[in-house]
Amino acid sequence: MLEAAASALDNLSACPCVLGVLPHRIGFLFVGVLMGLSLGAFPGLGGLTGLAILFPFTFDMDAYAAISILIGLLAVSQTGDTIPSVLFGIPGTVGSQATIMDGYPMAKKGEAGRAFGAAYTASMIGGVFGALVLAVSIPVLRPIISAFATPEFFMMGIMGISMVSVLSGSAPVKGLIAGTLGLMLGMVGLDPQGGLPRWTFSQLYLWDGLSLVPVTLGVFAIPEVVDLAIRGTRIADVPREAMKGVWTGIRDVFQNWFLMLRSSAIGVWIGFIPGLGAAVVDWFAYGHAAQTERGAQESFGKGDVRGVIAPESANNAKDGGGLIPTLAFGVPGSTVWAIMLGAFLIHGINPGPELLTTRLDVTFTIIWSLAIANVLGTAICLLLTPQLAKITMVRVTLITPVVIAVVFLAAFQSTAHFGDLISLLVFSLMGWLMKRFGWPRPPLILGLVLSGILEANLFVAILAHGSGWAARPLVWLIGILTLASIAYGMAQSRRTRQKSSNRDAVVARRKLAFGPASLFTLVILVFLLSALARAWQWPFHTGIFPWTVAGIGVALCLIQLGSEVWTAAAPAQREQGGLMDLPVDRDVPAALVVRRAATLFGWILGYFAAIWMLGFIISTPLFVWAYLAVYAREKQRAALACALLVAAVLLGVFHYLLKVAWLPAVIGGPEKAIVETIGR
Amino acid sequence: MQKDRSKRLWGAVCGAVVLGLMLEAGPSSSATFDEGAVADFYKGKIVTVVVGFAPGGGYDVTARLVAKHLGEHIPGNPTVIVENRPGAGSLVAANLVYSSLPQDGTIVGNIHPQLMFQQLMGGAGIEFDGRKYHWLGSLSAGRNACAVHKDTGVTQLEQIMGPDGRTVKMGGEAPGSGVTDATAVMRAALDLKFRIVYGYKGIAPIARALLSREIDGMCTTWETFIASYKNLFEPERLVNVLVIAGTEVPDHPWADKAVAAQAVAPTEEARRLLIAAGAPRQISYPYTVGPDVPADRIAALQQAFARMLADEAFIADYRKTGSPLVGRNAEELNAIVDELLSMPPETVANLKEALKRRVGP
Repeated sequence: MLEAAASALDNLSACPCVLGVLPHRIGFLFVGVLMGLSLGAFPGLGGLTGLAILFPFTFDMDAYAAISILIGLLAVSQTGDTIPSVLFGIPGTVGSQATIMDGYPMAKKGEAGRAFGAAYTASMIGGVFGALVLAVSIPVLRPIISAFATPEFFMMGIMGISMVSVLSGSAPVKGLIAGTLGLMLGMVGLDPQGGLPRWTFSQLYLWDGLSLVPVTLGVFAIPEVVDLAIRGTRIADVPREAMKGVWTGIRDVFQNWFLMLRSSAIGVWIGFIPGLGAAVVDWFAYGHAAQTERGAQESFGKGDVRGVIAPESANNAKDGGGLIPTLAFGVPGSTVWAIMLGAFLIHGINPGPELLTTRLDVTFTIIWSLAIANVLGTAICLLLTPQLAKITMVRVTLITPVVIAVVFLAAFQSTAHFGDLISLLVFSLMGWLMKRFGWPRPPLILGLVLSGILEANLFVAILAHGSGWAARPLVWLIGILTLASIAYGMAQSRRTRQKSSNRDAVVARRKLAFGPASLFTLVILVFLLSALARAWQWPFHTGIFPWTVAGIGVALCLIQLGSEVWTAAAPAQREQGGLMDLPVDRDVPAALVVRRAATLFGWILGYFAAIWMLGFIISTPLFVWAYLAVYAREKQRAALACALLVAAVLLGVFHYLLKVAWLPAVIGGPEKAIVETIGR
Repeated sequence: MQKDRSKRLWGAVCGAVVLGLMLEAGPSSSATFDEGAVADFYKGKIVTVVVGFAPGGGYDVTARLVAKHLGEHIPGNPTVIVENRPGAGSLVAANLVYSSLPQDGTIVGNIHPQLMFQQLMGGAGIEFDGRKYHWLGSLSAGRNACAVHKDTGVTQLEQIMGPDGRTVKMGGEAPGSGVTDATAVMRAALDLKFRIVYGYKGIAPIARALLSREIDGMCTTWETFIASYKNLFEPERLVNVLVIAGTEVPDHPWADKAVAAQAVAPTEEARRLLIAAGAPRQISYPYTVGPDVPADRIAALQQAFARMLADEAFIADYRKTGSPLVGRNAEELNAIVDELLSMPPETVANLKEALKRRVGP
């Protein structure tokens, strides 16, 4: 095996020595890494986009070069995605949603550099760890995979959903409601058993279910932009001298080496289980850290570096795990790996047992590529960090419209359908209201991504195994682990709560009250009830999951509403203490908050309307210019420069490179004329 | 459904045999249009291939190959690009190409042929008539086939046939997907003792479940088995292919236990069910333009497609995807779609009955 590993390194460097002349395959790896970083850094784009574009171009390369460039791209898209997560609170890919929970507050505290340092280092070590685990697990791969079937997948989903309890912090009921809402949103679309449309309102767009990217961007990104504009300061609200550096972040990782290793192990594990994938891996790691780290229940969500280390090491480690089923079975664990599998086949590499026996050199080429790509990616990012951190010092008015435009483009990448934009708008408002009224948002996303996994696998488990599914040893093992981690997390949070309740005893005078927060709860209750009413006619196998989840949601909503109406002990402030979500500024007066938020949402709606009327290509620079010149009263030069910058990205990346299918606008003439002039 | 097709592409032995290139010199229309006028129109234009699926799948990759090669065969040599409009198993794209997008011959749709079957079944959301599309041709073809794991002890189809047959658990997705419909129609037409485990998300998870023995067997196409799931047969023969749609069994060592479905079908009606369920498989990766495109441009595009199918460079590129190229021209494709969509009402009723969700056997 060691020989194979060494000869694989030679393959990669394309020369008989390990440290030879500039190896051209490493060069390809480098190109892949650069692409992966840039795509990851752009919200809504990621490894998958890059692979799909690059794939046809690798047809004429030699096998090792092709694998190098593709693996390079794939390995680091989860490194580059940290940039928007930390700087703007916008998840760069679905794999870095959890990173914003502490990364963005760190940037606000002037610790963007530190967050980057920690994130990249964790990413690198996580990625290398993933590759290592893959390497040492080769002999035992097949039996492990065979032991996993739908009952175990279902239990992994249960383990994931149990994270809701810890991700809800001090607002457990709200967290559970958010979780049930997420589960229900995840059921929108054709149901996995009957193929009947559920809650699709005759919209084909909803048949495949809600697209994750517009929902996450809506729930997390837009609310941060809105709040940034409400606050009206720079992202980092501390002077430049206080900006903590990259080195601190790197040191943080080594100080928390055990957390990093645990998170990496979680990453490999989730990557290995087919169907869970990128969207949950970061939450698993973040939830695990919140459950097990000392004092995490208090400090997470407020810029704790450990909240960055956990998801970042996990999301790079998962690629090593994702390779396992792809290589051993020739059955890809996700779409990304399906493309990689295609690439392997084209280049004469047949996945399956041979890769683990006679063609180990190929396997090790892959593993080396994965490891080296992670190191390269981190090095590049660390070099860029001091420059990137300066963005947090830029005036917020300049950032706001650009970020909104980027978010719109990112959401639209999902399916190039108007539904993506509508979904973005709806969830933006919802996300912002949830944030304002102290509802934890991570459970919503967790429910959304786990919903399908839970439902589909439970049905299959019952159909395939009968009641015997529950008797499988691994099912029990995962179940016990889940219960143990819930219990541990509860014990931790009780300890934390005891400490904090000694500090500030809450005034618990009971009286009747009904404020805007309760109105929001009421709206959710009505929403759940009407969803339930629509679901009433469905056949059993289509309806049983929605009925159960919505029923639980209604009951929880009633409890929540009751507690809100009858206890008015300043609930918002009380919950902010340990809410596992980004903190809300309470210094801006409420009336001003409402006015500024309304204005900003007005601009966002206006942008949407403009896209509808005139199309993306005209509306986007127009929106940026209008916001800056008309609303923010910036200098004409700055406004035009920003508009041009956005137009350049739109045309260069989206029009020419990605060949996005733009929407036919109502007044389509001008846009058509532009497209016909500039070509493709 | 989408996964089913894309995984098929991914599969495949490198250098897979090109099963056959059924080509004529285009749909006898090469002389019926004014090449100069068409060239004038397409010169400097962009022709967009609208793919009904997301980037990265089989539809997307093959469409990108078509985009690379088709333009040089169209008079005026327009630039051909790919746009992805994924949604509802390409139904979104199918509806768009049929009516909302320009009908000037600059939009080519690449949609899933299973939609034609869904039209026959009166499926929801369909806003097109498959007979009114102007088909250009298709790239691949397959035959439904069912395989069962050797550990079940089942090696002959008759062991799972009829009232005394043994029950086997077959993997399925939600009703309406290609895999599930193939399984259900085989069950109905040949009276097979299939217990269908609905709910897998795609064909790859079904194959994985078969390997871990969660299920006993699966139905997909014969071509998918040999191209994408080689590991079910080598190095050790784990499954036996028991039945393959068609009138005869392919001459292949892995098909040694298989029987031809049409040959064992008890009635004429059973054969019709098999033909209907198999029709979409016959025209994988089809390309079409909307109903109102000018006739001369349709003829030009059909001719270009046929020429592309015969183009050595295209064949060489396509072979690299691992999927066998079984090209069909416009005429052949139209014939298959017409036969499918003119199935008699009682057959349609029987199909609907067969495709209802029923675990069974």
